[in-house]
Amino acid sequence: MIELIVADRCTGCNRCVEVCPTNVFDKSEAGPPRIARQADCQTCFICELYCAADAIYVGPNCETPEPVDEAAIVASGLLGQYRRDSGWDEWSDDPRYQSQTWRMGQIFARARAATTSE
Amino acid sequence: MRAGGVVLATGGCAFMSRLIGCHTNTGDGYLMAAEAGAGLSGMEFSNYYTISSANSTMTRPVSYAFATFFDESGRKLDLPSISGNKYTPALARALLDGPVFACIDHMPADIQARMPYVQPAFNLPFVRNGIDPYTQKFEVTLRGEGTVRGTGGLKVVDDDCQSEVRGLFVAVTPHRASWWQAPRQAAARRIRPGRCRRANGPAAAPRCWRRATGAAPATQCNAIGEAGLRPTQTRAPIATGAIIKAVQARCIPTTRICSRSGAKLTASLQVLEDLWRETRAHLQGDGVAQVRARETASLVASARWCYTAALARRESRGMHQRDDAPQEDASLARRLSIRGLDGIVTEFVAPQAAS
Repeated sequence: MIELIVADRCTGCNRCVEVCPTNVFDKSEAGPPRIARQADCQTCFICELYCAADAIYVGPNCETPEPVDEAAIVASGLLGQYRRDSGWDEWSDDPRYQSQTWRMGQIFARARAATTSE
Repeated sequence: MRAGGVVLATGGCAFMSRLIGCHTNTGDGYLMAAEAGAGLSGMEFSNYYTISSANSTMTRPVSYAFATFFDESGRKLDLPSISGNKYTPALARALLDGPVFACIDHMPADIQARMPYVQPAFNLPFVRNGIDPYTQKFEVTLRGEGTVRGTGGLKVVDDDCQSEVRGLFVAVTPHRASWWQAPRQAAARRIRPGRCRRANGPAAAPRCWRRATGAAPATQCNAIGEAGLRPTQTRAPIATGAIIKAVQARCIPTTRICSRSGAKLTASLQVLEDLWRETRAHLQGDGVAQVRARETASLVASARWCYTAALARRESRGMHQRDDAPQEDASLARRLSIRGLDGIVTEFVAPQAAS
């Protein structure tokens, strides 16, 4: 569930407000968007993907809010992990983060072989 | 209809089960189309479930093919192969007995290393909870998919994925996509796949363009949306949250896959009928609440179609298993059409000739 927008990082671009499928955020007059309807968050991580400033943290628990310590999250290196691993924006030319979704077929085949051999 | 054509790409309905990304898949496309006169098909095959780690939305099942499962005492559970039909009901039964834990300990190291780039979201809950899913046990659950990975949806009538309403097309998810899903799930086993040979709605574009450019636009349009938008009686304050919870109580618990029966289906359907009547007569919202009102009506409508179809198919086939009719009935190896809003009508459709 959405837990945090790091004000120091947020550029106020409001992309998260636009892309959120369940309308969790409200734009602010000044400063970062507000998390106005946390309970409506469906934990899809889309806002993180679109946050080029890596200012958003979505917690892993989709059922209950779990407030986090901002300093600890900033220090954890988790901010921007999903956007990087998805090969978005500045990571799109980095060979380490190219999408390997095309391997799903192979993985399915090996999974099937693993389950049927037992 | 003013547009030359409309393509619905609204997804199925997973009853807001926390299946990842499903909270906008409320069946609103079904309701919109049904109000325009379209029928649906295969709605009884709507009790598909997918594993996720507990408290997470990460319903990506493939990694669990490499998992070992345990009960709360640490005893290894002997579940059937994840690639087969018996796996999900077996896991559902185990979950009714108590918490179930998994460890993805058989995943080869090379796949482990690739997973963050194959499914970048899959590892997020594990990393953020400080769990190594390849060496540590973690609790799992099942998330209902409703019609999302079931085979139910709007009925398509031609190769362009047109619905029963002329000019109303469906993209791949909302229509009965059994030609690719049924073989995997054996959901509609031995029911001849639908005639839709093309993957999705883009086929509609040329036809829409012809219609849009060939005919003068209608000067007046009549709004046809009613449920949740324009109540048939006096508007009354209705707690949408309570209605959604009541629908979820009928559509999400895994007992649905363990034991459907005529009596239980009828009892649930009675509850859903009452919810529908209340919604239809009195529900309306303003501003953002208007969206939630319409979603609520869509959830109730979808649940009624699923239950009515499940009651009509008096046999067991694929994911649709009935205690009171445990055998497959060869005479029912055909699609089940369903249509209507206040009065719902079902009909088994004679098999089509191979095309």
